[in-house]
Amino acid sequence: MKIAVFLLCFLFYESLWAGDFSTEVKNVSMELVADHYQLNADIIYRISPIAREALQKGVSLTWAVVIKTEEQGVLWNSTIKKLSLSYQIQNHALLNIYSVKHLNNGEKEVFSSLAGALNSMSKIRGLDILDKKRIKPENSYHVAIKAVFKHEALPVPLRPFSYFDSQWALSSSHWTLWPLQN
Amino acid sequence: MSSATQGSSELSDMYSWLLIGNSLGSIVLFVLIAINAYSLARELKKREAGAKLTTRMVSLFAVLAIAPAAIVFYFSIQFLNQGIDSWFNVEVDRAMEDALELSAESLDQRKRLHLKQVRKLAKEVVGKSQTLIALEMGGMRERVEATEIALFTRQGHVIASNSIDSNDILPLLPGEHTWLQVRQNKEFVSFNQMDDKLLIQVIVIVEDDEPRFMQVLFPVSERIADLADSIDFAFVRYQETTFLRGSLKSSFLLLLSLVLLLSLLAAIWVAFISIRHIVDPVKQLVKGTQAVASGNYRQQLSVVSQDDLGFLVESFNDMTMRIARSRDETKAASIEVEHQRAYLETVLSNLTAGVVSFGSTYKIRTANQAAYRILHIPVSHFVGQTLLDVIVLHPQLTQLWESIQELLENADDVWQQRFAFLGANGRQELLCRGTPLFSSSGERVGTIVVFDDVTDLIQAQKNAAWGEVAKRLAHEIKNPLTPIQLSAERLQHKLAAELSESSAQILQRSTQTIVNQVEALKSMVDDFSEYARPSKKQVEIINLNLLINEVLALYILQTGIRIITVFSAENLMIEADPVSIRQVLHNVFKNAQEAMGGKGQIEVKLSKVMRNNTEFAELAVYDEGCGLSDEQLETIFEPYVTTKTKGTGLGLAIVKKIIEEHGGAIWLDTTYNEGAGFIIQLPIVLI
Repeated sequence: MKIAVFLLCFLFYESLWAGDFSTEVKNVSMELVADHYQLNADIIYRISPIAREALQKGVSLTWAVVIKTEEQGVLWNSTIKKLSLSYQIQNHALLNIYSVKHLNNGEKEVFSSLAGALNSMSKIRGLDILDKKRIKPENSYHVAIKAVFKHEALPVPLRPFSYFDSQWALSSSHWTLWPLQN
Repeated sequence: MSSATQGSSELSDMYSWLLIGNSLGSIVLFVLIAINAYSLARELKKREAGAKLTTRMVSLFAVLAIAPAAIVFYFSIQFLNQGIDSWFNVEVDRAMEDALELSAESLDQRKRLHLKQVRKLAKEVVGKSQTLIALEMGGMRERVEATEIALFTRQGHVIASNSIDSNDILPLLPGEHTWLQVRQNKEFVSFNQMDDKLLIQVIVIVEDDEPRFMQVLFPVSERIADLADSIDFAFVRYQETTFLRGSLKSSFLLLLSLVLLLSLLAAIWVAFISIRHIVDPVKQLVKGTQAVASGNYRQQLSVVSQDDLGFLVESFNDMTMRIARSRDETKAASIEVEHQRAYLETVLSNLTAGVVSFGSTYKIRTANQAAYRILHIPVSHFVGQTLLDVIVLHPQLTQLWESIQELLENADDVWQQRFAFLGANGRQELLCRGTPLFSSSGERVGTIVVFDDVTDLIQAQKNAAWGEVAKRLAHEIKNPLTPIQLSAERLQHKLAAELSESSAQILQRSTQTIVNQVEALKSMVDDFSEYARPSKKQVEIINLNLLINEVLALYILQTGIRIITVFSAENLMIEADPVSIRQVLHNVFKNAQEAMGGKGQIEVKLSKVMRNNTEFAELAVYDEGCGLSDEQLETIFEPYVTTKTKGTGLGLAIVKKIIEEHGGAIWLDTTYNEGAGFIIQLPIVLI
């Protein structure tokens, strides 16, 4: 039974063994514009050789950037708002281009290089995350950001093994926290 | 899960959860089986009923499930691997790559053509003012059949633009990376998409005093775009499938393994449940049988089902009920038989006659208490042995046992015989009666011998006879003796003076002889009278130790006789006529003295003994005389039996009579061989 629990933990908590290919959240900043908090951040995607090969072979890769605004409590934090920005990158061998699809709105962009495509996914600029009215002055808040690689978006045969392969551990290894100034 | 693996179903979204669910299901089943197996192992260790049967059935079930499943699994994997491998071959690979290359080459040609066109346009605008360029842009665009044309500053700001769609005021702005490539390579050609339409984006540098960049967007015909899309889609799918070839095999292997594992575990678990359900009545039956074997005939089992096993359980219940009833009846009969046997045993043990039963092989089967009392041998200890075996340990009864053994072997009918033997208490006479025992089928199954000690009876008869003789003698002989004596004396007195001297002397001798013989006859008759007269005249309690010492004092003074006395520490009191007892002691000591011829040693022992739960004073007198012959041993206490030249032979007969009249016994100690040994027992009086 202990083994089963351990396997489940292992399966769903890949940060336990996330390696060099984990996504990194950097340069987080918050601006208060017209009583709305706006987020700026850079998401650095690192693609392992296996993931790159899969992408070249036509497998589309999907990430979701999860942004949570949490109110800090004594025992635990409560999420007051949660956003998710999903991106899917795909290679088109014939046209030699990479397309990035914003799954939230269905918009699609094409890029002549992988770096260009990843660069377009990495910039989060002026993202409206919360109305200031929802903030209570006496409480403390923070924004938690994490980029999660969607294993479930991979083709079915690849899915189960991707959970156990560090080359597919492309999510952020931890939540990046940023305080929300009242 | 199979559909999910193929990715063609909505279940594909749930594939991982299905795998986890299956894995968890397998784990749960494994745990259940492990618990069942552990429980079974404990039952086996405890040797519980039905455990071995369950183990055998589960093992058989498991083997029957695993063997075909393993074969199917192996062939399925082989088939799948071969099937997946057959999807791919070199020709198809090459054809796909060629098709892609052909398409790419075709598109590249268009890209190169458009690059040339844009290079030309870029040269045309060199040195022209921005206003002029803006005016000419429309014509340029139409000339190269472009969708959009735009001129950018070095920093990427729009200088002028023209679009086929007059509504598009702002041209397509190149991305950061695109500008990077343009600045590095001075030109950029790539496909782009705008409003879901495929375009060829060409950017070249305009070499002027102030370098500028011209971007032209060329449309790709819908047909070509569709074809390109189709080829791209097919190639991507093929490439993806090729890439996933190994994963697909592994995925199928995983899937099949999980399904097989789940199925096997489920089968084994169901086997456990089913077999336990089947074995449960059998287990109950075994437990019931064990209970019956241990004597619990009231065992009843609950009938769970109405199938064959249920019928078996019902039959078992019926059987135990019948057995219990039979057992009760047998028990009651056994108790009755036991009561009868106990009663018979009580009767036998209380019989004064000895009863010994023999089996068909003449081995002793039972013997009552009276047999021991009469024979002074614990005959009941020799159950299972023959009389000849008893002889080895008790040779004193050899003659008796041999005679009875002979009768047992030869007599076919009821026999009766009197046996005389020298027992521990002297001569004994037994009246034996043997009855053969026959079974209901007429087969001889043994013999029962009943015997009684008739020694006292015979002795009493003899004593009575001798008493009668003595009485008659006294009456018939003594009465005429006095007239005879008086007549003889008168003859002497009357005729002595009238006869000659010689005749007178003859008369004198004759009459004297008559008188002497009459005196002798009188003495003999007196002795007989004494023998016939009761000895218990004046009974009183006397100290036997003291009495013996008094009598012995008369003999100690005589020279040549040495008397050794061994007396008990306590004084033994008896209720008797002291004159008679004194006469007994005198007779015994005198006999001993005379037997030794006046020289030798007399040993006198006085002790207290228990006989038939009664305390007796035992006086043993041993002399060093000539002893007694075998013939004398049997008749020494009878009248007219003597070893002496003088005497009437009534001494020991009177002694025996006096002792017996006082409730005692006298016998010869046959174990003493250095002379004669007499043992006298008299009952002790408790004061």
